This record gives sequence, C-alpha cells and structure tokens, in this order.
Amino acid sequence: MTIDRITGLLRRQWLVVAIVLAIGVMAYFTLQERMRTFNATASILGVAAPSQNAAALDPQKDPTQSAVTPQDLPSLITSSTVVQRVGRDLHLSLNDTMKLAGEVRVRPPASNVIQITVTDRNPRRAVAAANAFSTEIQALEREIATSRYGSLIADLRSQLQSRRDVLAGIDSKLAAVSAQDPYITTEAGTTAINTQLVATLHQRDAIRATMQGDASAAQFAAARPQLTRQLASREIIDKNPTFNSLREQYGKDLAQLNVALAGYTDAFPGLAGQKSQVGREGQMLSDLQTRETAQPAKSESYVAAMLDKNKADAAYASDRAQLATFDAVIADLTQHLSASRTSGLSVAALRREREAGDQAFARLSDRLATAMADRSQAAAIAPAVVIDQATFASPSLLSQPRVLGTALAIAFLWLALTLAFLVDASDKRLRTRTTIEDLYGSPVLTDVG
Amino acid sequence: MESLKENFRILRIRVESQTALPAIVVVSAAMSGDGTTYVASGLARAFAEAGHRTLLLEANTARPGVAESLDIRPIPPTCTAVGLHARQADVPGLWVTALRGGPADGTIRELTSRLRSEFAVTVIDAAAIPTSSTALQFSHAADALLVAVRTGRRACVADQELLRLIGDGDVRLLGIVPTKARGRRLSPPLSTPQLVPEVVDSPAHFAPRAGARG
Repeated sequence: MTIDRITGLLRRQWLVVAIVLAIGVMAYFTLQERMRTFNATASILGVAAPSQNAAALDPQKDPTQSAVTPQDLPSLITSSTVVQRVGRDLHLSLNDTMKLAGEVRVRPPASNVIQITVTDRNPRRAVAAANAFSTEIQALEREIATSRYGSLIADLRSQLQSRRDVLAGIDSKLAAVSAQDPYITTEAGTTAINTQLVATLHQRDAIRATMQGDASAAQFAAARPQLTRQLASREIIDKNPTFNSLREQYGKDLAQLNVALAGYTDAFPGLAGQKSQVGREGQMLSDLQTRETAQPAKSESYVAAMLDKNKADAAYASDRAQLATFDAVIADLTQHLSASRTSGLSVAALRREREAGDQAFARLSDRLATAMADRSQAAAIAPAVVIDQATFASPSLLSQPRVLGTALAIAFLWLALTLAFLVDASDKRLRTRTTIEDLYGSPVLTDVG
Repeated sequence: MESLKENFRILRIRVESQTALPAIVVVSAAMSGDGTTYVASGLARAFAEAGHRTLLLEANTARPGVAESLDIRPIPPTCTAVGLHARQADVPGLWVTALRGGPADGTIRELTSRLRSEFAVTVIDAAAIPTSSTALQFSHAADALLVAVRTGRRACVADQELLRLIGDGDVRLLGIVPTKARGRRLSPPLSTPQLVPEVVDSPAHFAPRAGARG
C-alpha cells in the first residue's frame, strides 16, 4: 500500500478515520485512570525432581519424588483451584476473584525459578495476591503429592471396615451358636466338650483307682476296732484306778491265801474266810472288768481305730459318690457331643473363616500403615520453595501516560486504517478510474471533475 | 478553473486524436444526472477554443439544461430539415442549438450530413441512452460516443443496459469521462457557453458559414 493509496483512502474515508481516532482519544482519557495498575512479583523455585514414573499419581511411586514438575507449575498457578483459594485468602468477592484470574501471569519456566506476577489497581492487594499465589501453590502441590495416597488410604480403610464388619458377623454367628449350646464356646467349639469329656474320663479313672484304694483301706480299717478290742480293754482296765487298787488288793489277798494254804491245812479256820475274800474280790475284779470293757470307746486306741474306720468308710463312700457323678457327667457329655456335632462343624468353619479374616485384616492394616507413612513422608517434602516474596508493587507499563498514549495511538491508527480500508473495499460506488474502466470495459479519457 | 479547462483540453485532444473531422461526438450516459451537459458543454467550448467551428446540440429533451440556462427555444423535430436555428455563443466558433424531441423519421441521416458539412465538430448533449431512443439514434449516427459517469454513484443496472444497447458494434464508444457531483452542470461559469446578444432572424440566415473559424 503506497502513500498515494493511503492518502486516497484517507480522503475517501476520512469520516471513518476521524471517528475511530476520536474514539481513540476518548479511550485514552478513559483508560488513563483505569489502566493505572501495579505489578507485584513473587518468585518460587520448583524443585527439579522429574517424575520417574509417567503416572504422577501412582501410589507405588517413591514418596520422596515430587508429583509435580516445574513445567506444571504455571498451569497450576493459573488454575481456577488456586485462584479461588487466593480469592478466599484475600476475602475477595466472586467477581473480584474472577478478575483475579486475569490479573495473574506466570512467566514460563526457562529455569526452575518461576515468577508469579499479579497486576492490580491496588498495589497492596497486588503484593498480597502474589504472595497468596506462592503460598497456595505450595499447599496445592503438597495436596497433590499426598492425594495419590489419599485414595489408597481411603480404599484401605474402606476394606478394613468391610473386613471388620465381616469379622463382626462371624463373631455374632459364633455367639449365636454358643448361645444355643453352652457346651460349645466361640473360642473352642466342640473341642471343649471333647476336652472336658476326656478330662472327666481321666478323673473318673483316677477316682475309680482311689476308690479301690479307699475300699481296701476301709476294709482294713473295719477290722481294726475288733483287733484293737483286747488292747482297748487292757488300756481301759489299766487306766482304771479302782480296778487297779482292787486287783492289787486281790493280789495281796491271794498271796496271803496262798501263804495260808502253804502253811495251813484246809482245816485252818481262817482259810475259808480268806478263800471267800479272795473269791469275792476275784468276782469283783471280773465284774468290774466286764463292766468297764463293755464300753471300748473309753480306749483311745479303739477310738482311733474307729475314727480311721469311719474315715475310710467316708472316703470310700465319697469315692463312690464321685464316681457316680463322673459317670453321670460323662454320660451327659457324650450325649451333648453326639447332639452338637452339626453345631461343632459350623463353629469350626466359622473359626477357620474368622482366622482367615484376621489374617486379611492384619495384611490390610499393614498396608494402611505403610500408605499413611508414605503420605506423611510426601507431605513433609516441600517441592516448591518461595525464594522471594512480593514486597512492593511497581507501576505497570501501561500506567505511564506516554506509553499508553503511544500504544493507543498505534492501535487506533491501525484500527482506523483497517476500518477505512474495509469500508472502502466494501463500497461499491464508482470512485476510481479503475472501477469505472472495469465496469464499462473502455478507457477513461480524462477526469473532468 | 484553469485546471478544469485543462482537463477539457485534454479530453478534446484525445477525442480529436481518435476521430477525423468533421466529426459528430455524442455525449451520453447510463442514467440521468451523470453530467452529460457538463461534459458536452466543456468539450464543445474546448473544440471552439481550439479553432474548430463547433456546434453544441442539445438533444436532451428530458433535462434540457443548456436550453434552459441559455433560454434557447428548442427547434421542433420537423424543423430539423429546414434549419438548425443555431445561435452564436460567447466563444468564437461555438454555436448552440437544441432539439425538442428526436429528429423526425428519416431525417437523422440528413441532419448528420448537414452537421458534418456545416461544422467541424458537433457535440451532442444526449439524454441517457437506456431512457432515450433519440440518444441511441445519435449514438449510431455519430462518429464517437463519450459516456459521462458521475463518480461516487453506485454501479447499477442502467450501466449494463447501456452497454447492452450499444454493444452491436455499430456504436464507437470512445471512452468514459468521469464527472463529479450532481448538479454541477447548472453552474454556467464552468463550462456552459453564453450566447451572444445578437439574434439571427431567419433560419436561412442562421445557417453557419461553412469552414468559418470563430
């Protein structure tokens, strides 16, 4: 486009150009205040820890590896998530938050140092927003690093809860079976019956052996009172002073009688009296002995023998009673064991299921503990580090009147020329020599206008 | 003003260079208001000023601009065989006359012969060809046709109609003469000749002098 063509264009479309330029002038005065903005910049360092795994959110990934690369940071910073968080931090309204999305710029990371620039008409808010962006990107990055474990942990917890419910169900089933049969325990099932039965049988055998011993002892003890009767009579007589004094007297009288018999004949007058004395005393001794020995309980030995006999009898009776009891218990256990065979089998199956559930629960618990530890480790890593916080806001380039004026002048001049060209191109009127010649197919001789 | 005259001189030279004298040049247009009277008057004045005995014949009965401005009484068609009733204009060698309606049937050839014999150049200010059979008749009979086009107006069907009507090969379209705003033909000082005050009484005496130079 030559100067002549531009001149002709301006001559034909001067009104369009004038209107556009007038709008440009008005835009200058309007934007002079509105374009008064300030830039605040905060710098962060994205730690160069390239993902070794294509799946950034792979829970199997090393938790010390960053989930976000420095190349991801610009997109994250300008994402709606971060913008909304910053708006919330700065207590901005929804409209201001939406505007904030257009006011933040992130320089593409040529290096790992990323600059976050916020443009705002309020310099303080620009500084606060830049710092808020740097803070929120750190928080978001940390969340992303831990979120890959969050789903795993949630899933493990869910599985653990399911396992816990299953185990509770098994326990309730065991409790129900146990409640129906007291001989079946939730811990041992019918094994308790068997164990008790065997123990009872052993006890019965022991009781039986004891009873046999006790029977022999009782038999022996039963003979002891009779055997100790003579000894008991002797003890009773020996311990009776009357008998002893009478026997002593009887001995003396008998000795005198024997002396008299040795020295005298039967005709001795005093012999008959002596014989009668000795006979009476002997009779008295015999009567006394008979009377005293009639009560053997006066003898300690006899009493001891009787006690032993009674003890042996009691032990024997006790053994027999116990044996009878054990027989009854064994019969009862045998009957229950036969009746509880089905319940025992179900308890055994439930027990096996319970044990398998316990093992699965333990494995899940281990995995949950590992995942939580990995998440904690990932959360402890701060991949984005704030290097420089925004401390001041500098006026933006378009805030300067000369720059704004120049920019608007260039823009609106270009716009004016473009519009003029478009209007002129769309104008079908016969304005130029060329259009007239094209219309008639004949040359223009001269312009006499 | 001088540049305007210069433009008409250029136009005259270009016409003169492409036609042999005596010549009849019709100035017409596709639509009324394109400036035929303006071009015809200026061209006739330029020819006269160049020393050619020139007749400006107004055949635009729809808009008799020259006749009205110069207060010429148009001659009726039946009188064309008798005399042209031409009047001397203020430019030496320039004569002006006007037709009321087209020439009578069968008289067009006689009229053109008479024009060629009496004037070196005859410039006919014709109406728009799509709207005037007289203009089309003169175009066929003339030596050259100039089409006045008012710049700034939109191309229309009349332009195509004009080309269709003259497209049989008999009409010699010499070229296009762009003009400016509508109504300029009503400005006499620019191109329209002024009549001299003397009056020629009879048609017989009105006959111009053959080969005379203004």
